[in-house]
Order: sequence, then structure tokens, then C-alpha cells
Amino acid sequence: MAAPATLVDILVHRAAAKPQDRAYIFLSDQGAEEASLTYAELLTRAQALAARLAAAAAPGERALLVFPSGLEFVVALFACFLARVIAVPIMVPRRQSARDSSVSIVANCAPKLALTSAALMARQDLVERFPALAWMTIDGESSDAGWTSTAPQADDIAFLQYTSGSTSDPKGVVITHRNLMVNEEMMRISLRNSEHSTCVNWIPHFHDMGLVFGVLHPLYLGSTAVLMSPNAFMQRPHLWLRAISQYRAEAVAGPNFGYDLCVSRYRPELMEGIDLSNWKVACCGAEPIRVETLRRFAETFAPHGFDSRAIYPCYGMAETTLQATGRMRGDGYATRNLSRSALQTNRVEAPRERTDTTEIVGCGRTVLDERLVIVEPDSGAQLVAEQIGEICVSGDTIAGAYWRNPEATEATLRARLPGEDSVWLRTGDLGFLDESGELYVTGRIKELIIVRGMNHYPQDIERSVQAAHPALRQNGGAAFSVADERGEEQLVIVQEVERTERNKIDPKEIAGLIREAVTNDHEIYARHVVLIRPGTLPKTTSGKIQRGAARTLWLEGRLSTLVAEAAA
Amino acid sequence: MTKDEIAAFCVDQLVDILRVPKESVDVNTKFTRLGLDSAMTIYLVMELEDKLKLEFDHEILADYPTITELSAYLAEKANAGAAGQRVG
Repeated sequence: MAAPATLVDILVHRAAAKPQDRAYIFLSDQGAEEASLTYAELLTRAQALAARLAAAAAPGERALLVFPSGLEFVVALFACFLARVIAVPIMVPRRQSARDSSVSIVANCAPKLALTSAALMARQDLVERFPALAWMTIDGESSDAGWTSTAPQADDIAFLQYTSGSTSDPKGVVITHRNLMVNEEMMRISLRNSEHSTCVNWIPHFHDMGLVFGVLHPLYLGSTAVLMSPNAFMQRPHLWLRAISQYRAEAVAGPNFGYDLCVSRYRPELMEGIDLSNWKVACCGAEPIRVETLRRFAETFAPHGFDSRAIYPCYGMAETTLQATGRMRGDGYATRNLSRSALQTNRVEAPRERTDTTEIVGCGRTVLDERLVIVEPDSGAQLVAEQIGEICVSGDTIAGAYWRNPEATEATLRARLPGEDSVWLRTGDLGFLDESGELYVTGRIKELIIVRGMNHYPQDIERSVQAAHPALRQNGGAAFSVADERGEEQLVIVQEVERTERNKIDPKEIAGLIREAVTNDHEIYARHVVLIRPGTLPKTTSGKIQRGAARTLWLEGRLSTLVAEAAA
Repeated sequence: MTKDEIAAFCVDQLVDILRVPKESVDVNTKFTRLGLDSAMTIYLVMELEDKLKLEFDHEILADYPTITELSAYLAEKANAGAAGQRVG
């Protein structure tokens, strides 16, 4: 075959060359094989749906993909690719939650229709939430409708990835087929994967790691993707390990907390018959990586055949399609012992004493033609090795735009750097390179809270807090995260209480209301809730909340709190 | 296990899950008010399943929203049913 330009080319080729090979397997929440699709079946079903889709939407129009994890999502995604309709995968809105981003995403991408499963369609609240949307359910495509339309081209948009931007102002990262092919190739090379590299994935399909790695990487390789729901993993992480063993999977990916969960829920009796010796690559990314997690995981599972050299820390985000840096399969990972106090002021120094030591994990290097530099955040001037600054990346794996958002596109995805001709992604993350080009991520400039691999924006959380009780002052709160004693990111809420209400409220009850609202709207636990006097939250002269200053004051115990921290 | 033992077990688990001092886990405060998110809920339910050797519906905390209510219900079930019985 000619060099494939898109994943559709690969699917068509595979369906002809190895029609009976299994492309996708879906496991039930008990770990049993629930459904599967061969390459030929996937193509046939996707073509049949593409024919229906093409009758309803023109190439370049958007289709919302509202699915739980499963094979229906995969069929819908490839139907969109075939019909050249831009796929927009989103999280299934939770029934009770009014405050998620789905409404703003719909407003931003203006989809022609939404694809979903019959099971979800039966849930009336989806229609009620989006009364103006046309819905198409996808069950039962089986007949070959004789799909013959033009195949997508490399520069066609494959999908929009809405993991950036706040709930009210979501940013859809525009991913073309070229972006995808470049990133899949980067991962194939660095992970040394082949058509024999089965992958097992539990990360949600609307998440960049779940989509670009979990769902699409095996198809790119021509191997098999074994999929399971995030809930199945959360309840029984050993089912993921069992699937890795049973399907002799070589490459899997997950955020740091997933590896922690495997260890904390480890029971020797659950591991019976599980052999992890074929497992070659355990990618760890999507949130800060902790060396303790990697060590504990390797120690816990070494008796079950796990090779610690499989651990593969990596760095990337939706804007880089997925992976930006990583090492090579089997190379293990690098760590550095640095001075904690120097790191707090963004300097790389040797620890002064044992208690000043923090150990950080390297995220590998760039792959293929991609470039990565560290710049001084204000001037954009490039820094040398061992200097901390903003991480900037350039290359064909970087998305060209945010959907219908030219300002954010120019500022973040097409930034200019002094003395450079190309355009750069400004990641908003802080880090440094060592002399060998290994990247160490040390912090972030952007006001983003990452919990269990999911991005949260402080303004969304603050809005939920202030809606929880009338005594809580509007525009008088700050949400930020701090690393706790275990190095895990924890949410802190600092909130002003109205002067007139100060003596009337029960701080404990208010803290409960705040926690309830934040969990309900955002699925994160507010570990620290701090109520403060009105007018004491740091703001700029124009009234903009200074979250960084609030964070510093809280860490130093210098906030003017109403009561000692309301613990529950 | 008795109701009180189950309640004490829940408190210990929540101290560990929420990382708060013991005195701030009130047995009559709703789990949602404590801020328990869905991952934490799953964790608590799995720990209870392990401890009691029972299987429950994972929505059980919605029906028995405080430690007091949950432990009363579970104590009854644990004593009434054989191990492995599905409850909730």
C-alpha cells in the first residue's frame, strides 16, 4: 500500500489484509469479554454509519460523540473520520450536574448533530439538556451501505479535544489527521511497538490519553485494543492487570493515580494466575509523576513478573496531540535529587541537606523532528540546560488552532519566540532540560488544577463555591492546589464571607456545603476549606483575583481566617 | 460485626480517605457534605465489601447517606444473610 495518510487508510488496508484480526475488545465491569470487533467488522459498521451521517451532516460540520467507554464509540469515531465530519468526544453529562462544560462546548463547536447509544438516548435528560440538538443513535449498523465517498486527507480535522479552558470558556484543540499520524508514529518509535503490541486501556475515551493512545494507537499499529470502563478499573484495578496478563499486552498508559490505586488495592489472592512478564511499556503521564508511585508499583508487582524497566514516564497534553516527550522502550527512567527550597523559586540546585531534598522524575526527550525549548516566561528568551522556565514545543504534532478562538490560538499555539521563525506551543508548564535533553517538569504558570489526570480551572470551582451559600462573597474566592506530604495535588478553597453574615453562619456547616457543591459539580474533594474576612483576599488593583498570592499566604499561614480551618 | 463496629470502621476509612482528623468525621453528616467524590465513594464501598465479605450495589451511599444509617443497614444485612449475598 502507499504510505497511509490517515487512520482511515490504515483501517481500510487492515480490513482487506487481515479482516478477521480483532481490532477492539471490550471487557465488562467483571472483566469478561463483552464484545469485540474485527478490522473488517469495524470498517463495515463505520461505513454504514458514515452513510447515515453523510446524509445528515456535510464534511467539516461537527458531530458530538456522547458515549460511555465501548465499541459504539469506536464505530462512531471512524464513521466521522470516513464522512469527514469533525468528531467532538465529550464526557457523558452526569444526570444531576448542571454545571459541567457540555453546554459551553456545544455553544462553541455548534454541532450539526449528536451521536449516542440507544441506552443513553433512553435517558431523557440528554434531550432535555440540549433541546435544539438533533440526535442519532448508532445501534444496529450491520449492512454494507456501499460507502464510496472521498477518503479524508491529512489536513482534514479529525476531532476537537475539549480538555483546555474553563467550563464557561472551553477551548477545543483542533487535531488533524496529520497531527494524529505524526504523534502515533512518535509513540510507535519511542515505545518500539509493533502489530503485536496489544494495549489495554481504562482511561475515558474523551480524554486525550484514552483516545490517542488507548483507542487509536493500537489501530495505528494494526494490533488489538482491549478496552474497559474507568469505573471497572476504579472498582477493581486488578482486572486491568489481569487483562494485561490474559491478552499478553505490551503497552499500556495511565495517570499516576492509577498506578497508586493498583498498589493500594493490591491483594495477593487477587493476583492468582496473573503474569505481567510480557508487559513492556507502562506509560505514566497526564498528571505530575511521583517517584514514590513508580517505585512502589515496581516493588509490588515484581513478584508477578513486572519488569521495572517497563516504567515509562512521559509528558504531553491535548495541544501536542498526546505525547511530547518520552524515552525509548526499556530505558527505564531518570530521577534527580534537587533542593526543594531552590525549586520553589524556580532554581535547580543540589539539596542543602536531607530535609531539603526532593526527588523528581524525568519525562524523557523529544522524538522525531519535534523541538522543545525552555524560555524565560516574560521575554520568551531561551534558557540553557539546568535553568527553569516555560516549556515550549514546536513541530507537526502541535495542534494548529483552538476551534473558533483566534486569540487563544495566537497566544498559546502559534506563539513567536525571539530569534525563531517557527510558531511554538507555550505549554504554561515550568521545567528544565538537563545536558542530555531530558525534560524535568517542575511546576506550572497556568492556573490549572490537575486531579486524577483531569484538568480543572479555578474559576469554575470558585463559581460553584460562591453559589453554595449567600454568605459567600461573589468574586471573593480563590481555588488552587498544593502538594501534600505525599506529593499529591490537593485542592484548597479560600473564600471570603460577607461582613453582615460573619457572625450568623456556622463555619462547619458552610464548609460542608462548599465541599458538597465542589464535589457535585467537579468530582473533586476540597481537602482544605478556609473562610476569610471580606476584603482580605489578594486582588490586583483592577479586582482580579491573585491566586498565586493567596496560595503563598495560605502556605505561610498568614490568611486572616474567620476560624481555625473548618475541617469538615 | 455490630453496627457500632461497622460505624467505627467507616470512620477510620474516611479519616484515611479524606485525610482529616478523626473528630471531624461526624457519623451523622452526609457523605456528600464530607465532600466524598465518586472515586472515594467506590473506595469506601470496596473496603466495606472486603471487610464484611458482602457485595453491594455501588449506589448504596445514596440510599444510606450517613455513617449511622449505612452501618445500621449493613449490620442488619451482615447478620441476616450468608456471606456473598448481594445486598443493597
